[in-house]
Amino acid sequence: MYFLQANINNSATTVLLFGTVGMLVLTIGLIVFIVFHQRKVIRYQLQLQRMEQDQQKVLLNASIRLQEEERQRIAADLHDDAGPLLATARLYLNENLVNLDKTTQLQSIYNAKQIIDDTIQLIRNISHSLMPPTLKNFGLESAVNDLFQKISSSGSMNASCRFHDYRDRMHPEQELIIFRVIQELVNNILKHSNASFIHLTQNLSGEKLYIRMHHDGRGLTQNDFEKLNKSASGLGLKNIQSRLKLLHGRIFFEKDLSQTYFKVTIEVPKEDGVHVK
Amino acid sequence: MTANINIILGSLFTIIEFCSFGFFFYFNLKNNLLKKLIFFTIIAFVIFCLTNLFLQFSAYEALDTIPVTFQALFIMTLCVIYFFEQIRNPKALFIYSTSEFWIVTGILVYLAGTFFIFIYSANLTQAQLDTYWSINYVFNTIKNILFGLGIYIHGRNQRKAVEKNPFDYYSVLENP
Repeated sequence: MYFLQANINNSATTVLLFGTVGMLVLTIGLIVFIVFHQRKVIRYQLQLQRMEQDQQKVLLNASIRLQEEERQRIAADLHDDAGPLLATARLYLNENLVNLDKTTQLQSIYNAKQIIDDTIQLIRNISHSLMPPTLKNFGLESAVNDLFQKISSSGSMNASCRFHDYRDRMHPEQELIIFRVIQELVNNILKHSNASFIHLTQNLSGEKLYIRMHHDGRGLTQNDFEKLNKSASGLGLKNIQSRLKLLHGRIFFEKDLSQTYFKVTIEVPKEDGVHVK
Repeated sequence: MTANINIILGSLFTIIEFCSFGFFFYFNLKNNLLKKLIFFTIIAFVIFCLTNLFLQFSAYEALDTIPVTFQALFIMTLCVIYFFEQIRNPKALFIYSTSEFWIVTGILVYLAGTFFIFIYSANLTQAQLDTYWSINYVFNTIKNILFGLGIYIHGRNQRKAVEKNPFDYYSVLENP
């Protein structure tokens, strides 16, 4: 009985000592693991944050450069076209003050009027390129239709578009951003793809608006897009991405399953209510 | 008589300790479901301890092993959950710069270190218990040192926060 009691006590002591040491080792191990793992997680998160900041910086630079290019273009249009036209009109009108001959005066007024008309047309064109009136007054569908008709009528490419479900207009600012993205994509296709046709379709699925463009020229895949996005070139693509980011939208580039067409899909949440200022 | 008072005091100590640790986690964990669970467990634990104390008073020898074991397991689980919550949603750049980390470490080390001595206290002789009870003192001291460190870090963090955003005396004078 004494031995049995002694054995029980001894085993209890052993379990107590080993158990306590074991628990202590486990606890210290757990705490060390937590400390190191948390540092690793934080380091990873910081790295992600830094990468995101870098990407933001690239996008911001791209958008600033694009804005500057746009300003330079407008400045050049005004300086090279509108400036000389107005100066010529001024010369004609000045001639009236010197030349008192009625016929010559009428002729110079007529010429000045012609030049002023040309200038008005020029300024209208500049203004339309900044904000297409069709887009403002009739919406995205009409503006895209207009753009595609202009491309088709130029004869260089067959362009068609079809809006399947666009009964309710989006917010004008959202429409403008989507229109600019489409313009940029079309511009890229015209410049680089050597395609014979572009076809655009619009669909709604759930709360998302999808715009798909097909063309049969040389195009981009998602990998190409991501590579160009990270490189210093590809200003237009960066601009597309920064515009879509404002709408919380996404863009996908892919080659059709038949390997004949390239497809670009723009996905934009419809009821996001993004107000871009 | 002294033994009876010791048993009552021991039970009260367990209840107060469980409530303190439990409420500490109740206020520091973010998961609402877990908070509810902690709250109801505390209530159930208090009821259980008091019932156990009154119903089985004569059966007590030295320590209420079942509540203490349950307390240790439950609070240690909460410590692990707290650590994993901190990994998922870190509150600070370095976990050891928060006061809660040192408090939780103190609780975990104390409960893990004294787990076996509390379980086996009923199976040990008085002489063995006297020998090994020092384990409890050692871990209690470690716990208190870690708690002290936690309180010191809490004070330091608050001082830093005050230095960053000095107290606006004028707003207090204007809106007493």
